[in-house]
Amino acid sequence: MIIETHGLTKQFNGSGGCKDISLSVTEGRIFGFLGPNGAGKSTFVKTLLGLLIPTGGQARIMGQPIGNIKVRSKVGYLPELFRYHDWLTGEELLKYHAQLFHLSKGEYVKKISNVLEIVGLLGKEKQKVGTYSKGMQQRIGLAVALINDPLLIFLDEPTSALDPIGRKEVRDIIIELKKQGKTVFLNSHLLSEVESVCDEIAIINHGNLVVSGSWQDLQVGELQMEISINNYSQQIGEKLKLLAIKLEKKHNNVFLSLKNEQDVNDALKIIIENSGVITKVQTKRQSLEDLFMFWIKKEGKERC
Amino acid sequence: MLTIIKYSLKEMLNKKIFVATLVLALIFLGLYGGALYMVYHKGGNFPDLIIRSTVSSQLLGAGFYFSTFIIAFLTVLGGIGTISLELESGLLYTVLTKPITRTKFMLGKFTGLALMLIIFSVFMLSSVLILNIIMAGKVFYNFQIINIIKAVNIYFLIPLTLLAIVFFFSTRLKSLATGIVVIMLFMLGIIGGFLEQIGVLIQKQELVDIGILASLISPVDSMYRKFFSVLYDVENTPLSLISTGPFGSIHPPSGWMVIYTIVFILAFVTLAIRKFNRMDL
Ligand SMILES: Nc1ncnc2c1ncn2[C@@H]1O[C@H](COP(=O)(O)OP(=O)(O)OP(=O)(O)O)[C@@H](O)[C@H]1O
Ligand SMILES: [Mg+2]
Repeated sequence: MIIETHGLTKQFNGSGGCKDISLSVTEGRIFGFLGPNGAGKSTFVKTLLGLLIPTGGQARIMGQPIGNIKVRSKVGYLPELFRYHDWLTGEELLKYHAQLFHLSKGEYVKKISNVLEIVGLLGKEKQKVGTYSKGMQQRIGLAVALINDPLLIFLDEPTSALDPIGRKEVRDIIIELKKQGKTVFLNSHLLSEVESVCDEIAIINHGNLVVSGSWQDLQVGELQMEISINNYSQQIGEKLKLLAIKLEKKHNNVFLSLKNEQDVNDALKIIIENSGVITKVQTKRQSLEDLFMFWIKKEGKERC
Repeated sequence: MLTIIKYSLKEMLNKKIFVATLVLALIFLGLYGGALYMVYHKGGNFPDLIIRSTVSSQLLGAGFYFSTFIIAFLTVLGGIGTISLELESGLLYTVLTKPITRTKFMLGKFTGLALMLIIFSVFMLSSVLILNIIMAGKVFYNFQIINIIKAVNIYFLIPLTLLAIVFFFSTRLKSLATGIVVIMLFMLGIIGGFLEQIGVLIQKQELVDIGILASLISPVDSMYRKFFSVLYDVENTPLSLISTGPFGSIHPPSGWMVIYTIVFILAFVTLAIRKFNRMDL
């Protein structure tokens, strides 16, 4: 486990922040940390990074407690409110951060042009950061987060200022990082963004951890299945009704709600054994949005 | 830590405030040089060497004294720009997640700013002195190298005191409030110094006591007067009389005051670092 927290709590004068968060992140995974505005996502990350002093609980990053100096040379961070030394040029800013990581000149010269290329700022490096657009500032922030070739990268809403192309680029960067074996901790409320890249997610609301786990673990409720059948018979219908939670038929199409993936095979077997001819099959899981709404509402109800 | 020192220095030189101070300093030096010229070349002759030297010491004192204001201006505004504002703006999120402790970060900042202020102080002091030597012609200066070195080192305690106070309040107040508090403390020291001098002159012990109290809270003005008395070697020279006046010192602070000031600086920096280590960013 690259990150492990036990009841990590950070509250501001007894309110807000995040409470009693216990979770673990596996090395090499992309971990999505989700929650509505003000849920406590940024607070959690800033506490893990030692910027906020925890009011309770413990956490370990790469086996070391919060604030360990050595671990920091292996961590990258893009804060949500990115402000950089605007009197430096993009290149000088990266050099400054490389030096803070104690990289030698030989190491950082190559690395700087490398990260500039990754974030798409090549050619803009001689410009003062203060004259960058908001999106460009977020990109240079991402470059800063990658300058030390980190093993673990915290990205707090990395695409908040980016256009759709930029968002896609950042998604690709995250996937590329995973391919290199890096771990990414992604804070976001953009569900589609998380949906397409994350291996594991945690949902937080009102400072409390609502649920966490892999995609599979979080799936709740039924699986939707649509089957197009030629020579549909009454018999097929009867048998499918026994299997499914819900059945609807429109022309040649049957819509089923199933308990889980195992039932897919059984449903197909019934049709084939009763000489139905399948021309099209489609299954659909709940989208992350459905999941998110489900868990957030559930948490809301439990609070009442 | 070296990186922090280097970039604090660099940042300061890049700030508009530094350019503004430099322009202000040059205007001041120009006016001051003009005034010296008027006195020595247009204002009649002072044939008597003693009188001439007394006038010269007053003019030199005035030059040093007003330089202190410019240096204080740079210290307060520069210090706030590079510490208070950075703490508030979230600029440090990415810096303090690097492999550097908060203590080292603060020490690096302090050292970088202190170096810059020391260089600037040397520039101001030597400009004022050189202008005097050029303009005054034959004057009785009894400056020994050792005294100059001692005096200048004491002078450095002026910006360092202010910087330590800026650091202390930056970790506790917003930047604007920090600026106001530090400037008020600076003024308190100045007024306290005046009261003490007047108190000695008219022999009113209450005034002297108030002055001493003020200089304990803000030892800036005491260090200026100590600097001037060490420069003129008041304690050992029978001609010490020539260095008295509004910008000199009838009653120079003791050596203990210098030690007090050094402890004062160390204490304020330590308290600033201690608070910084426990702060939420
Ligand atoms: N410095 C602070 N002082 C007091 N309360 C704070 C502070 N920082 C955050 N909070 C409170 O803690 C809660 C969580 O804030 P946080 O910034 O962690 O939310 P978030 O999940 O990152 O939200 P967003 O999606 O808007 O970025 C909020 O209710 C906020 O008001
Ligand atoms: Mg946030």
